Amino acid sequence: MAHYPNEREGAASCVSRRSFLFQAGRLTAAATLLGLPLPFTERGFGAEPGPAPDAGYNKDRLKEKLIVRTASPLNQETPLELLNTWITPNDLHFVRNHYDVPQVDLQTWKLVVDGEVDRPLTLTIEDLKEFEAVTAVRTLECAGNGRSFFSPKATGTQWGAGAVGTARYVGVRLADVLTRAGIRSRGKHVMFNGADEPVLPSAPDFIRSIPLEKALHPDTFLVHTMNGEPLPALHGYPLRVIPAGWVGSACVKWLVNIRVLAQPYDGHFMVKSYRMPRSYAAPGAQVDPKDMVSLTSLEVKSLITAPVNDATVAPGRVIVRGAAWGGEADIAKVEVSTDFGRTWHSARLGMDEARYAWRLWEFGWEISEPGSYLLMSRATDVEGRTQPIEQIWNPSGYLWNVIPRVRINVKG
Amino acid sequence: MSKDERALSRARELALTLSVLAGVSVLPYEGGGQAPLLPEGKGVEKVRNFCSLCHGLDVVAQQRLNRDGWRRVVDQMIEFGAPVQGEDRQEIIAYLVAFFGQEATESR
Repeated sequence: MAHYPNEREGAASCVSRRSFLFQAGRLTAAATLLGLPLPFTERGFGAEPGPAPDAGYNKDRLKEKLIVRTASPLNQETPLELLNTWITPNDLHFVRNHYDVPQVDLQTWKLVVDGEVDRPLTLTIEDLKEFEAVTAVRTLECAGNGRSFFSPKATGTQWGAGAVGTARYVGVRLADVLTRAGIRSRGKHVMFNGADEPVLPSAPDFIRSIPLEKALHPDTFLVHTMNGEPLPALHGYPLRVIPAGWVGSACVKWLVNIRVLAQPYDGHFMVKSYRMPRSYAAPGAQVDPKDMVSLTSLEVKSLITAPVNDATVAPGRVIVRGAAWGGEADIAKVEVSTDFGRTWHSARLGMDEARYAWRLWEFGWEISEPGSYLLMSRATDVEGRTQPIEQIWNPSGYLWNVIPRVRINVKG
Repeated sequence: MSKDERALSRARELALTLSVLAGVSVLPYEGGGQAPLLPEGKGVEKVRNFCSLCHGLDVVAQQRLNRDGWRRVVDQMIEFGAPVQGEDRQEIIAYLVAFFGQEATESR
């Protein structure tokens, strides 16, 4: 582990009482039910283990239209049929948390930039906004999206296919901030720590690092605005990093510390999590940790958002719709098969496009014969990579990107 | 450590102690579902009490792992600070394998 004794100070000082009350509430429920005295008398502590009653907190706690995969910590994915717009509205964007959502107070929040730099910085949100503003549309996807489809099963949140979304972000270039701090020649990696913390202090803090080259890339942003609103608490208020095209776990939320390191950060979430085999592994195999590498870019992938699985449609023209993305690589084409993969047809790509953002696509299917059909979509990126027919297995169930299938009934 | 942190730390310590001593389900919250997530069986109270100290039980109930898989998960949680020792560890692993093993049905 990297030993920085004050690693958590920044995180603790800006987190308001509300997330503290929620966490404490969950635990004090135990004492209350047993009729035992509590070791403290703070106002607001009760037997209710759920979210605190004030409206703002509830609003940030849960998105009504999304599927709850786990409630505590909150992890929610979007039903695929709602992923039908190029920009995913904030109330439909998937949510992935490792720990409880910290409620950050902007009055005391600051970003510390330190480590292998000539001039450590302490920045307020106003300081950050003095750097040149940048805006971009980015697709974010959880590395574990699709984990529930792996066989044998992988450990972790059992995501369906909807832990992906696209939003317009405003922020500043990470490179501009790092340049002001002055990176020393020893600096090779950049570490990100947010204000979230494990319930037990002995559990690992969620900290990730990326290579300096990616950190200095002009498309790697620190963002404070999402679809025209300040970043919602669930998405990292007040500041999150987005290394463009990389897995969601690289997009650390609630940033309080950016540290330049001489080597990759070596905490749990770097050395044990978010890694996959360097080469193809047999399903169910144990893979030696030295043969695992850290996840970087998302894979080439498509989703079918309409019709939904098991839908019944009338003979005639059926519009098949979806989205396709390729992490750091743009999408070149999407093809659709309606006959079990015998033939493939080019889908029309949507007009809206941006680097590192998905393309919507659609295909008009003329069908007159009733029956049970399988719709499939296959994306190919500009580097010629295409979706596999069979999912490539890995022990933790990351980067699921096999050709998706939707079964539909055509009924006259 | 701030005042809040000290209070929280004490609350956690107390809850840990209570859970271990009580041997009954003390945390009503299982992750939002109406039906109990964990079926009754030997070890269920220990799973409820220890696992829900840090996270909902929904993530437990959605796994399907063999004995090796569950042992690795439980030992990982112990490494993270879950106060599970000796017989409790064995009982928890046995429960998880019995009810959430690779062959368990998906309907649960």
